[in-house]
Amino acid sequence: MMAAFACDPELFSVRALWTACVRACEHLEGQPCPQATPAVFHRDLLLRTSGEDPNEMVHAHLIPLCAAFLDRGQSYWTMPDRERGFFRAWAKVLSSGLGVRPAWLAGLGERLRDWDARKLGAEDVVIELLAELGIADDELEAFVEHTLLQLPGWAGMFHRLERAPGPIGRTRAQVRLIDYLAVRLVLDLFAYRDVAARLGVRGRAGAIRAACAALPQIAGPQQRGRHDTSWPLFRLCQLAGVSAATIDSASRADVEAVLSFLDELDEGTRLRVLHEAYERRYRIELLDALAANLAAPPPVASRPRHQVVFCIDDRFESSRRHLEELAPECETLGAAGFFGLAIAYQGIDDPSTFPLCPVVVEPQHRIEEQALTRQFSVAELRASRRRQLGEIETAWGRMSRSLLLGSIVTAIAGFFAAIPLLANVFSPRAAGRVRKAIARWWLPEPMTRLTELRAEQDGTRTAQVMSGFTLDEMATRVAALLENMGIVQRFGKLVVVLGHDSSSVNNPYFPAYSCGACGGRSGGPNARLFARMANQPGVRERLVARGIVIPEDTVFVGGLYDTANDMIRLYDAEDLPDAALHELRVLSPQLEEMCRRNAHERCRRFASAPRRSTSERALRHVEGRAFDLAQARPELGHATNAACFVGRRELTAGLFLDRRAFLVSYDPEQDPKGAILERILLAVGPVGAGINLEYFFSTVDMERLGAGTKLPHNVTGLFGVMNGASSDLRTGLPKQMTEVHEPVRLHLVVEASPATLLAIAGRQPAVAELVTNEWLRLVSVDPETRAIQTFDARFGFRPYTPLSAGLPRVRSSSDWYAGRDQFLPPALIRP
Amino acid sequence: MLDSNSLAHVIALAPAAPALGAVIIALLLAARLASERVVASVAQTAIGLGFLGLLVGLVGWAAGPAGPLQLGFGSWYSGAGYDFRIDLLVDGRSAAVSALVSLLLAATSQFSIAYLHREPGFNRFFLLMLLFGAGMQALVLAGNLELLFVGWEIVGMTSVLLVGFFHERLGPVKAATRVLVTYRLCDIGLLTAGVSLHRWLHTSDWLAAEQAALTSPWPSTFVGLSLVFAAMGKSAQFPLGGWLPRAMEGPTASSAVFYGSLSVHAGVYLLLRAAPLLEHSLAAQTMMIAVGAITAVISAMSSQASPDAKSALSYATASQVGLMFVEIGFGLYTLATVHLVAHAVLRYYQFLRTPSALQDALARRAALGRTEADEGAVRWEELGLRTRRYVYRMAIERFDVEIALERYVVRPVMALSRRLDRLESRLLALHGESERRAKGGRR
Repeated sequence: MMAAFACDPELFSVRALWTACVRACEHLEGQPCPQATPAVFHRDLLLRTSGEDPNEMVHAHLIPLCAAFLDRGQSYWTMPDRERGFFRAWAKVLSSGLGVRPAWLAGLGERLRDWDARKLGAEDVVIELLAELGIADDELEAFVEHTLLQLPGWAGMFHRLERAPGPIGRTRAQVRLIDYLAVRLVLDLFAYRDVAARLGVRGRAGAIRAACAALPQIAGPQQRGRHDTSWPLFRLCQLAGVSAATIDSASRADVEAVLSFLDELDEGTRLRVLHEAYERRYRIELLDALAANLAAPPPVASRPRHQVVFCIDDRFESSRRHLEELAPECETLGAAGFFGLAIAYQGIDDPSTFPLCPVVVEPQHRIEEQALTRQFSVAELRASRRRQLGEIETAWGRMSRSLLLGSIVTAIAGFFAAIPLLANVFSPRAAGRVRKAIARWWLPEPMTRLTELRAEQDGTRTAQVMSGFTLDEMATRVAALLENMGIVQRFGKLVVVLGHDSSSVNNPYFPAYSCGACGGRSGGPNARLFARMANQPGVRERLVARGIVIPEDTVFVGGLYDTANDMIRLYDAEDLPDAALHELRVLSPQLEEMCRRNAHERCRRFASAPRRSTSERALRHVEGRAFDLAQARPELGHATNAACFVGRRELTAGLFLDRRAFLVSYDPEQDPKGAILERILLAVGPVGAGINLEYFFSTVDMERLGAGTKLPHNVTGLFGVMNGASSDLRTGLPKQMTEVHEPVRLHLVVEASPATLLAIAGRQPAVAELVTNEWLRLVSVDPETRAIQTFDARFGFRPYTPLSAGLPRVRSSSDWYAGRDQFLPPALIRP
Repeated sequence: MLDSNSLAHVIALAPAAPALGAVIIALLLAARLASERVVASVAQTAIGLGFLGLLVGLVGWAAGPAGPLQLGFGSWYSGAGYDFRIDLLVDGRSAAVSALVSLLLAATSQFSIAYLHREPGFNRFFLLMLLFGAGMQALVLAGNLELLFVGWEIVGMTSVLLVGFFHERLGPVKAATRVLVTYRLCDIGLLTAGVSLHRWLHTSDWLAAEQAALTSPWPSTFVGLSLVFAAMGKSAQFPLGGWLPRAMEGPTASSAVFYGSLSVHAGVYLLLRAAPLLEHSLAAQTMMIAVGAITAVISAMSSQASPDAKSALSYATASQVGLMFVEIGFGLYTLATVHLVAHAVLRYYQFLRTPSALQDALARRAALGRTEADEGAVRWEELGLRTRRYVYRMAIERFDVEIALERYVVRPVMALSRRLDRLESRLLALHGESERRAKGGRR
């Protein structure tokens, strides 16, 4: 025995432990084991008795017709009778033509004619079918839910489109979930009867359940097998470090107590325990770093030369860090990317207005982009050429799918497709640049202005959506944002406001990479509008009355930051006064360097990016990604998000947070009552937690809640994606967006006292819901004492004591991340 | 210039290099040495080498004396009156299609390195893609029916495995099974054709068969019909085309190369190769025209009504392939070859861009100043409601071809086989067979 131990101690002890566990559990063999929940409804019962899934028949028939009915412009031939609802349209399709019906739908024609003759609507048919299927009143809700959740994506899309048309535009179709339910139940009824008939159960559909319950079912084992209990015990002992000797000497009662505990530790409880442990690691890392940074704050410039306002987005954590590292006289700030301007916006290239604000907000003000008078001819040229190109493209698309014209098009022009094909596949960046250059040359861009100003006595005030803002409205909004960010006294010479967007190709998920605060669109127009408003002399006069004095020489500039290719475009820069232009000549190179360094930091997470390259090359690499048809990950989006800081930059300045934190500027000193904070939390809480939870759920259950891998995705009806030619609509985010994500709940760190936070939660149910149900983890940093307290639904706020002594110190961000490609713990950056 | 022997060897690189690449990847996988970078560079090298060899070979062929070139690699085995020869045939047709295959293979490999990055099946995909490339080149360059059959089967098996690429889900596996059944069914045609060629014409060389066909007309009808049947399955023609949209379960890149451009055109290429035989059979020509025309119309209509990007494109593909059948039926071989190559390139590009459908539609709509989703369908909606209902029903249900097949062919066949199975067990029971089995333990 000693020899065996000496030879391979690990093998020996594992064997000993296993033997001990098996012996301890021997007496439990043959006892009944916990049973899976019994099947209640038809489909599950039939599946368990026959092994045949009625859904297979139903879905093959239902999915293409759902797609056709909801289609927003993918097909050239639209479904007839769509304005009469899905149930009628479906019935009409089935009863037209000379078709052959599948055998399982035999008899459907008579039923449809019967319903038609009795003039029954979808609601009546649903009621009739529920009765026919033998659903008791107390089961109704559960049954309907069960039925709809057979295809959660499609049912969800009917539900969603019933309420709002979505960004792709309206169709004639009258979308109602009840119509979907009616069609689904009809098909279910016929499929159930078909499967039941093969089981020998004929007659009324209501009798199917009783008949199935009497038949033998496919089920798991009823009794515990030889190792069913020893295996979990063995795993527990391994994890807890319990030795074989302890098990051997344990009494039978002890073993049974442990086992019954393991039995109770069901899937949900176990996952919760593991999840909390997983999260704890990140929380300690984050809060220790915060404590260390508070203990040794970096020096802060009193009056900054420039200020740059970014979106609160976690992706700008690195941009802001790099900018501060390379330009210490530059202050960076964070505010939700619509900058408090909820607008319906129409750019010169847009066919209609789009809301640029969080999706829950209904914009009240319409803003248009118009070409300057002297640029009308350019604008007209652009519009007409765009229309021509659009028509050519439409005709080309149609012809290539048609029969005879298609043969001419494909046989003659098909060869020319080789040019863009080879260029785009073998040299995406060059091809993209050429494409852009051609577009610039053929579609010249006119200089434009925004229609931001509305005269005070404009009669359209009563209208639902007003055109532009009055000076008072502008002043209110500008003041609100400046107060939110806490800059009512210190202004630099230039204040650059950057909205953001993300460019990518071949990507149906493009809005998920763009600005969440603008409903998945570009925040550029909002930034531009904000700068124009803040530069209005009339607005500045009104701000003075509110106690906000913006110096004469302070100029606001709007811009757009592309998070995919790390490029910044500034708006209206040609109208700036000379002094501001001079300042811009100082700031612009700094912003460019920031983009290069940011690209460099991002590249460490891309396996396909060049290793240990210069920042120039990194920038070229990210630019290429945005143009590449083959690139399933143009960028990583919010995949790294985990925390959110609401407070002064002092909390996080000089701290390497690895692009994991939303950063919201807020100054508690100017908000004694917590009114501003309430406004901020009301916006940031739901938006931040929304983004975080979307990634969370898409990661923890990639196949059901997330969209799985992107590769087989098939854009359907311009409203969703399926896997291949027929599947449920995929919900959530694809694997390519979530694979590097660590599923931790958002750690919302607020620079406010627990009392203030609790008061806000008491007043705002939207915030309270997130906090008390622990959809996010709230942390308070007291503005005065700098004490850190964490919130827990059971215990309330409790002080946090740092676990580690100190943080590593580095001179610059690149020193910390160089050569490492995984998540990095925080570090102090002190040049 | 190169002599015909060295020409043969460089051209043989086209199928041989990818095959070698596949073997290397398989060995790397077996030795657990396969990483993304290594596998990708093996694939790139293999495909590049094949491409280079083909390019040099084709230039050599074009510079040499005009006319088709038969390149012999000896015989695999021979028996009484039978000789399995490994011959390559280079003529205008095989040169064009083989160059196309090489080019698209290179593009697919380049595209997939980024597209399949971090996918668990990355290595498997490249292994299958290389095998497919080798099979496709063998099929195209084959100088006789046997070698073509080898390529044909490799193409078929790799296609099936790539449809089922995501085999952890049920959908792709079912789709792959369906493709497999259709392919195997139609392989009967190719096998029959091969055997009959030997039986009656005592050769299966394309060049020799052309001569032999002149002397005996009716075997060419039988062989021709068999070949058309084989081609129908591979090229998704009526009534066997139901598998094509279902095959879109694999990664977009493989859908593009297999069902958009190469695999689906293999049937057309087979008919082009067998054209000299088919010319002597009115029945085969009529069948090609009828099948092609019916497919072209049905698929074009289905494509108009398809609400998802990949199905719409796959029906459009089947429709043009149908027209190629018609062209071959009418003897327009050059047109069919040009159509094949150009169509393959275009569809390949369109398939690669299917994920862009939403971005493209939004851009188009903006350019045309449209705001509502229905505006594209104005001309269709001008039709009368009854007509629209009728046409729509036929288009969206694809004239119920599959439903009819399922109801009148598949179900009866399945029922029959179940009955035969029961009969068999009863017969066995008569012989006391089942008693013995019961004694032997579990059934």
